[in-house]
Amino acid sequence: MSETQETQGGAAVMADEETKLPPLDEETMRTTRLYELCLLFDPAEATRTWDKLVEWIRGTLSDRYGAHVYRVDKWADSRKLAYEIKGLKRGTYMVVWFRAKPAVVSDLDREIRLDERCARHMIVVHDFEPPTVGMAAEDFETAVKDREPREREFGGGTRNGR
Amino acid sequence: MSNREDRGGGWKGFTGVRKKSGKKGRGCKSCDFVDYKDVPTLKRFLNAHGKLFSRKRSRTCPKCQRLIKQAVKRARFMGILSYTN
Repeated sequence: MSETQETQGGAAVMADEETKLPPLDEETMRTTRLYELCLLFDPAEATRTWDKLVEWIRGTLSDRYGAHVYRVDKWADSRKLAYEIKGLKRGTYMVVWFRAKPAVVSDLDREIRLDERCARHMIVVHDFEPPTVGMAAEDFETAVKDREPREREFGGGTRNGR
Repeated sequence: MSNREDRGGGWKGFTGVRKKSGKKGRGCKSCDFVDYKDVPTLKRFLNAHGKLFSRKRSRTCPKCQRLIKQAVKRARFMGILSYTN
């Protein structure tokens, strides 16, 4: 199982810049699919019991469902939600990348839904490793600022030279 | 159909035929992957009320528009983006 190192900002630090999800043996790659699991927790509880939550999700995925967990990241800490979810106005996001057989996903989904600590979750399947693996919320903001100024998409011209 | 030469030739104006452009729209950056967590990118394709722009407005190709739509809906579900406003 690969180790995940978390920085103060929450984004994981990977030794290999080329691939953040190292390939496994051929049999595993053939029978499993790459999944991304996003979980939303109460920020107070997440801050207090983050290690226990990570341990819980890793144990659930690897021990109960035989999944290979690549990494567990904290995508955002106490982020303001766009709307209230289960009484929460702020939330802490956890993003988990793992490989598992497709048959276990429905059971995994049900088990996470029954857990009271998780306010909302979503499992997404990927055909290939996305380039944004390991990026935290602030990394996306920074990437936009570093981007070169783009030309205007709408309008573009001036009327009467003004 | 009248030939340009018959009409005087050399006039580079509107001939009444609209060409079909095979080029991608100016809004298209990459049609491979759109992350639902990439809020700054997704907000470019939403109006002030949080609604998706049409393809005509955002000038994206069909594939990009589908990817953006899917990413926006995922972000809305996770509370990253709003359904309204």
